[in-house]
Amino acid sequence: MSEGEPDRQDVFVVEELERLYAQVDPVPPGLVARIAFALELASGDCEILRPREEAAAGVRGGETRTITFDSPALTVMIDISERPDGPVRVDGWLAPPAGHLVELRGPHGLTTVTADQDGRFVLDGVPRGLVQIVVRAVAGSEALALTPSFVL
Amino acid sequence: MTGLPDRAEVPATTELSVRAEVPVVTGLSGQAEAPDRTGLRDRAEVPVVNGLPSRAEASDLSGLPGRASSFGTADRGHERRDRLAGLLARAQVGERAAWDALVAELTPMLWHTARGQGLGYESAQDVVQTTWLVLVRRQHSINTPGALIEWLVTTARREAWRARARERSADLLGEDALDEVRDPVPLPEELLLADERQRALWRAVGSLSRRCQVLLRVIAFAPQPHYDAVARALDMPKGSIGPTRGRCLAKLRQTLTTDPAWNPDWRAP
Repeated sequence: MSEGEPDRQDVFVVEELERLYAQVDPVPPGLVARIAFALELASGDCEILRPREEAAAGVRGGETRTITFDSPALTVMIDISERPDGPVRVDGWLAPPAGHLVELRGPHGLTTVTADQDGRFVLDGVPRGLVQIVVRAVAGSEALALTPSFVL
Repeated sequence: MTGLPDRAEVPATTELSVRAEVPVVTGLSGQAEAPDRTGLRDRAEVPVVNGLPSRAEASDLSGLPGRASSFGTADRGHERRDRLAGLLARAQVGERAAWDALVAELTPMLWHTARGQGLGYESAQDVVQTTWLVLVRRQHSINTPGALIEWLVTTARREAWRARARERSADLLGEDALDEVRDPVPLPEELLLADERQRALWRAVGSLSRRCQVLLRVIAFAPQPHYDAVARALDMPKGSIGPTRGRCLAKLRQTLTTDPAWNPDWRAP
């Protein structure tokens, strides 16, 4: 310790600070569970796809959200069409285009599609809930890339 | 045309432009994200290939002490450090329950790191999650709890820069409706604080420099033996003229003593 052990008063103040920040800005409920879910498939070699959500736009009674996930080697963009209380449709693109397997892991299990030569894929009738996208070269191979978990 | 354009044709929104704004990364995690995944790395060093093993051993983690008991005597600090070392070692051989325990224990520290960097509610959650995902890639270069704490806070901070850079580049394109403002904590925070002493502390913290506020905020959620690792990760070198934990705490305590509402009994934790 460069500054020595904190004395008793420091310890008390630091504990009060912890209580303070835990009250004014608590860790969001469920975040720890969402992280644990996302880590289940993570391994030493797969790319992490970092999310950026674009503006949501109202479309004919539903909403469309666009999320772009980036890694150095791969970009996955998805449009999520939401219907009130119903399952959602996910239209996605891989860039650079490749006929990879795209898996959507969710509470309902796994939905898998193969992207076409333009990198396009569609997942229809997906139940809402916590999901994660995993990209593989072929079925059963180690993941090439995966996203953090997010809520559809 | 149904596919996305090639990366090179996309000027402002891609990783490429973002990376240019991110300062050069040094330290534990200095390796750039390798764009290749062609097996250059020695697989023999990575025991976990297809995900992490089952939760079979979850039961022996049920007795984890809560955060409240983690400060206090030096003994307890050392105990916690040893326990972190044990969890880290077990996580590195792929034990799921150990990962879950690390995530549960250290996520609050990362949350407050990300929020201390000014990120919104959604964005900060993405950053914390990404930090853990990157750790799985890097785990085998991190062998002590101190290195783990320093790496985690450094990475969360760097991911926060990235996230902000991405948001800025999106803003420049006029996409200003980013969902960043839906923050469930309404101002003023002071109203949320039940007792007078907490309100006094809130006022005193608010009078500190921003760097002191960030440092103390993260330290409040860090394991006590690793305060210095946090300071290093937040780029506050010890012995410099800049704020240190000791100086920030001293300033805070000095401010508190002038506030009659701060009425500590200095009870032992």
